[in-house]
Amino acid sequence: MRLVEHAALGFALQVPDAWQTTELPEGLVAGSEEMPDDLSLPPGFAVSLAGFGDGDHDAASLSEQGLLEETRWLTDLRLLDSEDTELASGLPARRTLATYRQGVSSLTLEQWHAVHRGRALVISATGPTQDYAALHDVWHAMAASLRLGDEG
Amino acid sequence: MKAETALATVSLDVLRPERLSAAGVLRADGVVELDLGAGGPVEVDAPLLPNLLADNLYLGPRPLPRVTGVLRCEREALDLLLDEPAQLDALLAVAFGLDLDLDSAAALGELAAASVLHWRLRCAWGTDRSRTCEIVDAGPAGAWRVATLTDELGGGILLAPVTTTEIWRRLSAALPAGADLGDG
Repeated sequence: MRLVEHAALGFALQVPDAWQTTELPEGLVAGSEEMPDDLSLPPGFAVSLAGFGDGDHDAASLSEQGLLEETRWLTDLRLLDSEDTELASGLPARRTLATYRQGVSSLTLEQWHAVHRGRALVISATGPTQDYAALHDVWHAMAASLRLGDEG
Repeated sequence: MKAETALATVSLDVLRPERLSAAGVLRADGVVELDLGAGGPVEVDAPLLPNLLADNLYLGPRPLPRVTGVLRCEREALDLLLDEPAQLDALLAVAFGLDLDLDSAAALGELAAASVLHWRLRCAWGTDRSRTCEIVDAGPAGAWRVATLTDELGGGILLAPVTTTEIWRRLSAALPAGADLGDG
């Protein structure tokens, strides 16, 4: 694992050495370039920190809003798990696990939603379900490594 | 239907509320053929087997029962717990002994009082390789994983609270991968 920082948004996290990272204005995307056996999607992990639209939100309402939007464009999305947890520095977060279909492939989507300094923090990890047993540990290690700065 | 070599066998046994068994195979063409009973065998591409199971086993978020550690008992004790909940107090004392803490006793009480979906998935390949996932899903009372201990380990079963995330991990890895089958 190596440390990757997003200076403008003020966060950092550990990513697997072999994964590529791309810094975007609203966050950071990390992913493997290795194609899975079922040729679906290589595992990916994205962190975004962006302002809300209208209204007040907490981790739970952000998570519910996110899942509602995803049901509109992901095929046969099924929510598997949902729990209240914590990210860096005890930041309250809602973790969800879901699955959906893409052609003859199954993908697993694991997300953490939180509110940090009035902005929506979303961690979104996607990968082939057949690789989830291994990806689970990688994704959870990455999420646990997230450090949020005071600025940004 | 084309004749295909079976790489593995797949069996899904629902033990409660009613006994149902579905037997199937993972074919060499990457398709799982599973006879769920209604309407003949279902064919699903192997990567989608966990989704098929999630749909049929109603997987979804469950609270995690509050239990200290893993509980060990005889399988008959689990059967009594689920089928004869009126005998709960006597059963807990006999099956789990005096060391059972209050949280665990309460969690088992909730399990005994719940309507459960008890199922077991087993995938087997080669001469003696297999993976088994046995779950007692008590809905709002949480889900429990059941692990059968071999005679060498003293027999009986282990009962442990389980999240649906952990169940999904196990379902996603239930079928043998290429390396299991000697490809990798």
